[in-house]
Parts: sequence; C-alpha cells; structure tokens
Amino acid sequence: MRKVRLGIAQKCLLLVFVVLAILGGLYTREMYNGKKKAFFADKDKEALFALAIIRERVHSIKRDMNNIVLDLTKVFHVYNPTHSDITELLKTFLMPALISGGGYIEEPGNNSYHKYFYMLNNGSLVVKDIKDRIPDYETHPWFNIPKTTGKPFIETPTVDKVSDFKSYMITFSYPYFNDKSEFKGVFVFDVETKWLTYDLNKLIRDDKLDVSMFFPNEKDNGKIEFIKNTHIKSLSDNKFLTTLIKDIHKAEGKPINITDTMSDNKVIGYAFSMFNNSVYAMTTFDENIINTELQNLLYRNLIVGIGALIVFYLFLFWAIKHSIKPVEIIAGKVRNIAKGDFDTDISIKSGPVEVVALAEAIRKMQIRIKHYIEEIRKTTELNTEMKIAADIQKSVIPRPGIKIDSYSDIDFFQFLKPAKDASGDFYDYYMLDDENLFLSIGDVTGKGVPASLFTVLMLSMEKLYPEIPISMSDTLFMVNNKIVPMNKLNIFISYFCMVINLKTGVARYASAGHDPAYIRKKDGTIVQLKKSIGTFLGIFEDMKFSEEHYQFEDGDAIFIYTDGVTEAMNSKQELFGKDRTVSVLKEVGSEVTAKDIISSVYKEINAFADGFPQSDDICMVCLKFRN
Amino acid sequence: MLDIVLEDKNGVKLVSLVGELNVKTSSDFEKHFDELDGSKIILNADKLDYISSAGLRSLVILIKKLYISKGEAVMCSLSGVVKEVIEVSGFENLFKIFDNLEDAEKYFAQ
Repeated sequence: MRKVRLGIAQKCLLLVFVVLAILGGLYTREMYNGKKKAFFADKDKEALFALAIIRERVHSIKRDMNNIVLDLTKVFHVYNPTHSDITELLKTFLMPALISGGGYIEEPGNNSYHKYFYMLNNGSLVVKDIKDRIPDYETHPWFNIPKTTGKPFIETPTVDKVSDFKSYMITFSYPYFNDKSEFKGVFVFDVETKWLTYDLNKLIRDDKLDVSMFFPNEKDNGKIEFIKNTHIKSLSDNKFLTTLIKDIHKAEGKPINITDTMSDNKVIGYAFSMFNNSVYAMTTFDENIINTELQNLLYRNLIVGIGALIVFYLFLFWAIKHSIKPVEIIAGKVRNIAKGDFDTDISIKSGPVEVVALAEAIRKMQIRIKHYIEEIRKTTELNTEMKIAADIQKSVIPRPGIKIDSYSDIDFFQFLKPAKDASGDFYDYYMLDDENLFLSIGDVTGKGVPASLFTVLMLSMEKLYPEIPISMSDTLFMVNNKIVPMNKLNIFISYFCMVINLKTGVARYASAGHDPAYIRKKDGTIVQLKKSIGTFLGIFEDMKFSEEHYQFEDGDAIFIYTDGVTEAMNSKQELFGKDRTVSVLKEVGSEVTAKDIISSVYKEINAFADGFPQSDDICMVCLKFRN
Repeated sequence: MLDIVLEDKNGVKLVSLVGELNVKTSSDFEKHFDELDGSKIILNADKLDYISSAGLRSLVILIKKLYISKGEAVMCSLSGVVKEVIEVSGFENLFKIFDNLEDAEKYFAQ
C-alpha cells in the first residue's frame, strides 16, 4: 500500500493556513468591534438626518402657508375679488406639495364664501362647500379661535377613519381681516401627517429606520395617539411617550436623543416637536435588529473567508501535489539509476518548467556519468593492458647493464624512459658473432598498447637477423614487407640499425626515416652519420633502403637517439632541439664513458624541461669505440 | 594550433597548413582526409612551423589513402624544422617536394 506522506511543502502550507485563519479570525473580530462602533455612529447620524428632513418639511409647509396667506390677503385688499375670482385664485395657490388641501371660509351669512379645495392623488382639485359638511362650522375652534384671537390656529390632528386606514389631519387656520381690519373669514389648510414621513425610508436607504409620530388625542381624554408601528413595543407605550413629550418640551425645539431617555438603551434615535407641539415625530433604530444584522454580516464574512481559505488551500494543495508528482517520478527513476540502471529514461514530457528542467539536468548528468563510467572502464582495461604490454616489452628489450658476452669491457650504455607504462621507443643490441655487434633503435608512431606490441614485433624480428646473412638494406626491405600487410592500424616505425665490427671499426647501417646518429670524435668535433635512403617502415611494400658505411676511429662515440630527446618540451612549448643535443655532446669531454654521455644529455633535458611533464618516450644508445 | 585552409585551384586542392601539426592538431588535419581522398593535392607548408611524429603519421596515412584512390599529394615551401624532419624521415621517397607553390602548381598543370 502506498503510504500517504505529507511533504515539507504541504506541512508548511498547512501551518501557514492555520496561522492565516487565526490571524484572519482575530482581525475580523477586531474589525467587527470597530465596525460596530462606526455602524452605530452612522445609524445615529441617519436618525438625526431623517429628523432634519422632517423638520425642513415642516418649515417648508409653514413658509408656504404663510406666503399664501400673505399673498391672498394682499390680493383681497387690492382687488376685492368676486367669489368666482376667489375660486380661481385659490386654485392657483393651493398647489404646494405636502399640503393636502385648503380653502377660504367666510363668516356664515347670505352670500358667504366657504369653499374648501383638496388635491386628489391624480393631481386634480376637488372643491367642497364646508357649510354642506359642517353647518355649524363657525363654532369649531379652527374658525372660532382665529376669529376671536386674530392669530393663526393649529388644530391637533383629527383622526379620521378613511376606508381601512387612519388619517391624521392637522388643520391650520389663519384669520383674514379686510383693509378696514374687519374680520371676514379664515384661510384653512389641511396637512396629512403621513406625507411628512412616508418616503423617508427610501430617502435614506435604510428600511431599518422607524419613523413614527404621536400626539395626545384631546378627543380621547389625552391618550397618546401613536402613528405608525415600530418594532419596539416600549416605544408605543403611553407612559413612555408622555414622559418623552415632557422631555421634548424641556428641550425647547431641539431634537432630543432617545437613547438618553431609554433605561434599557435598546433604541437609537431622536424625537422633536412639530407645529407648536401639536404633533411629535421620532426617528429610531432598533439596536437589537442592528446587532443581529451586524452579526449576520460578520458570520457571512467569516463563512466566506473560511470558504475562500479552504478553496485556496485545496487549490494550492492540488497545485503542489501536481507539481510534486513529476518530482516523485523523477525520484523513483533516480533510485533506479542509483541501482545501476543507467538506461533509465528520466525525461519528463509535461510538468512545471522547473521540474522538466530538473529532469533534463539529471538526464545530462546521467549521460555524463554513464560516459565517465565507460571511460573509467576503458581506461582501467587499457591500463591493465598497458601494464601487460609493458611487462612483455620489458622482458624483450635488453636490460640496461647487461654485458655483451665476449666484450665484457665494451663501453656501451643504453637508456629508455617511456612517457607511459609501455613504450613506443625501443632499442636492441647483441653480438651477431664474435666480432660484430648489432645495434638498433626505433620509434613506433602512435601510443599505447598497439605501439608497444609493434616494438615487441620488431625486437622479435631482429632476433632472426643472424640467420639471414644479407645486407642491411635488404634486411629493412624484408622487414618492411613483412610489416605492411599486418599494418591495418597505420602504425609506422622510424628505425635505425647498425652492425659494427668491434675489432676493425667498420660499420654498416641503414635507416628507415630515423634521425641520423651523431659521432663524437675524440677531439670533440661532432659529425652526423650520412643520411641513408629510406622512410618509415610499415607504409608501402617494396620501399627502397640504402646501406651506408662508417669507419670508427679510436675514441669515437656514437650517440643514437629517438625524437623524445630533440622534442623534449618545456613549459614555454620550446623544443630541446638538435643544437642543445650537439652542444651537450661537445661539452662532455673526451674521457667520459658512454654512460656519462647519456647521463649528461638526460640531465640537460631535465634541466630544460624544468618539471614540464615528459610527453614522448626518450631513448638513447651510446657506444664508445676503442681500438 | 593549426589552421587548415582548403582551396580548389583548377582541380587541384591546395591545403595550406598554418601553425603546428602535432599530436593535438593531427586529428583536425585527418578530419579533411575523406574530402581530400582521390584528389591532386598540394600541401603548402609555407606557414607550418612544426611537425611532430604524430603529424608525420597523419601525412603517411594521407599518402596511403591517396595511393589506393589514385590521388597524389605533393608538398611545397618547406623550411626550418619542418623541412629537416620531413627530410630526415625520408618522405621524399613518398611524395614529391617542391621549393615553392609555383613549382608544385606547374607539376600538376603538366
């Protein structure tokens, strides 16, 4: 079964979200408390604002009525209009909104004018005769009081039951005196209280606002009439309202804060008096409702917040899981590689860019490692092969210091220093018979095992020379023809061989493209052996070689070498060269041995290279001829 | 370093070797061998400063290839160490060597 593991990324993510949720919760709570305060302050302002609107409407109504009365009074004074003119005038004036209707009523008598106009909902005017409705109107306070006091009168709202709702109508009456200051009648206006407040909710966009009006109904023993219901029962309580009215009177026209007068403090709002204490208005908010609303808002925010967090978390979880999946696949494949399966295909087709890049990087590393392992394997193999080849070679090349049988006192020395284990350079020497010494040196081009195998091949062939009593040139011709057919690897050999009669000093030699040897004469002069015809062994069959001769004189030292000497290099990429070689040979002196000559040259090479690694095999052979 | 400049001159491939033909650069030289196979070739050594035994081996490989494909290479403008090495190696037995490019061109023009 697959173990469900949470990676470090998921753990971190979970932790981050828990912390985020806690911080979010704390923050929301803090916000809520702050918001609540601001919210309540806002509601307080809204209530006050609503009240201000009502007050403004009341003022506007009063102003309108005053203006109408003043205007009509002037017109009446000037024109003394007929009854029909009065009707036209009143039609024109009684337009202001909020005033439901109005009229002019004269004292009862013949030909008296008592018309009342009121506005229908459709905007048209209806004209009624007061006398028809109230025959004894002159006894009503709205007529009687202005008449006797000469001052405008406001009547406490009358409660009329119109169809199925109550209508609260305030009546305003203004006395009219003619230009002789005789009382003639009253101007009356009716204001339906509900028009003062009906649209306030819409105006301040809050249906939680309660707008109520109330007044003591004198026709009902002073019982407080409450207009419009409110959510809060205690507000419509008669006792509370009676106290409130007293408080309003004390405030002398200023709105009073209801929270101050409520003992349990569940209401925000304001109250004030209108139309000379004939009716009162209050605008209130129920604190409980506001609280509930705020809480709902809080819960909604919390739920939305938590929901968003969860969705966000799930998304991130999914995203991480999605991006980690290819990593897990890679991890599995890398384990396979670790087990040694280097052919595992690590590449990933799809996935996040970084992961694809990771896979690509691992794939490159895999190729590299595979390549390196292959290299190491090859090198190890090669090194082992090289060692074996070197061992074989060492067993075939004559070891330094071996005495030549019958000439134990011969001054002869040889030196071979391969650049690596196995050498491409070789030398050989042995006595052909009692008097003739065979000497050879060669350089197989190419390196490593194949080259060293060729040196062994050459050394083996040389051993057959005593059986073939032919010239040097023929010997090389034959050797070359033997090598060419087996030379698929294009290995070529520069080769020099010489036979010296140790008694007479007569020498014959041949060269296959090898550097001609130097002879150091007793007097210190250096001569180079005459160049013979012939090029590398192993190129073409039937190549021509020439045999050359040299007569050794007493004290002649022959110095044979491979290009490892002349091409020894220093760190400046300079070559040791022939000139340096020649000068070493010149300077060694006449009394030195063959060994000293070779040592001097090698010492000089080392001093020249100055630690720069040897890149080519170095081989030197030296024979000092004594008569 | 070795720069190899190849030019085609009237059906003769002129190969100018600039720098050193040694164990490091001989493989660069050998890369051109397939292209040179079967052709008449002038190896211009005018600006060749040095040739090592690995370089000589490359030359021999080229000569062997041309021998089979009936092409021919000549060398010209040898000097200094290069001249010495080529002479010592007995390469005059393998291909013709001219003192200058004109002589080499003349040889192929015949």
